[in-house]
Amino acid sequence: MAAIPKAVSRSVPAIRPRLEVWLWAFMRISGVLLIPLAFGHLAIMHIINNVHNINACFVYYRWNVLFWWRVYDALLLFLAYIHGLNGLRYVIDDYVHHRGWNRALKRVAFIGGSLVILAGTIALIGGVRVTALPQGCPPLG
Amino acid sequence: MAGAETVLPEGARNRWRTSEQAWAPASGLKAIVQEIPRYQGRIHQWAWVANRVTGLGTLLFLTVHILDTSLVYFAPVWYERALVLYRHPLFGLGELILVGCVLWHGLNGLRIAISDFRPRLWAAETQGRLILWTLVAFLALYIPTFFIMGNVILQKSILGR
Repeated sequence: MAAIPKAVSRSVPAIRPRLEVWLWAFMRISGVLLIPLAFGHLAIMHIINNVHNINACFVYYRWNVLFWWRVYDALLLFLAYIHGLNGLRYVIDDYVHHRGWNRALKRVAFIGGSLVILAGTIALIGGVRVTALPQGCPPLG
Repeated sequence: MAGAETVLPEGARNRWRTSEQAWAPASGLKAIVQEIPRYQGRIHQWAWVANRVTGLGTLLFLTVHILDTSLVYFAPVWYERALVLYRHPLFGLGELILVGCVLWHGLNGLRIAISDFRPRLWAAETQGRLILWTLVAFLALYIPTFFIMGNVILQKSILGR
């Protein structure tokens, strides 16, 4: 009476099942970590401060006075963006069934996303150069 | 659920067996939009739809935001120009929507993560209640945020004080 047929071949092959399980766990773990990280970031940058009093000087002081802000921002960058890219992969797999388009879109997302993370990482390490500070912003030390 | 299998008619069974896309939801934007009301998944489905939409919206914003913040290192002059652009009221509206997206995605995601580790919670009725609580938490956080941020947009971006 078993009504459910055995394996139905999928038009979109999943990436290796073991990796899929790790990504499932990553989505949960990063998601839970992102709640304090992202909500805290929003509270500080969008509610307590806002786009009207943030400038290069603000970023310079935030990143240089307390080193841990860079760690905070790095965590936010990696966790949030990888979480988002993997979410995009789920959406592409759900709706784009054409094998070629599916693969192409995921490849574009992966390469583009890697470049975005790379740009963010370089900026986080490089920081704000003293020569680039706006007027009325004394450099530290 | 033992003994509760649905027996499909022979024709449908063969179609399902041979169809390559038996597992998949609709393909193509029009089909997706048509399928959403047809599924009738009540509040559970809308929580899921909202999760997808807010997630994609946040990803789009993140892409722009990481790139513009990296300008502070690569091209500081352009960083200041980007900030001037962000002070426009339209971007203020976008910022309000963004904060709503992140709030919903975070709270709803927390519900999913907790339910995954306590699978008994996945009972449809329990989920219905949990989703309502998620909505209450969302509104409790978002309404004050909306007024604080809206006030800044009104005072600074629109009235220029």
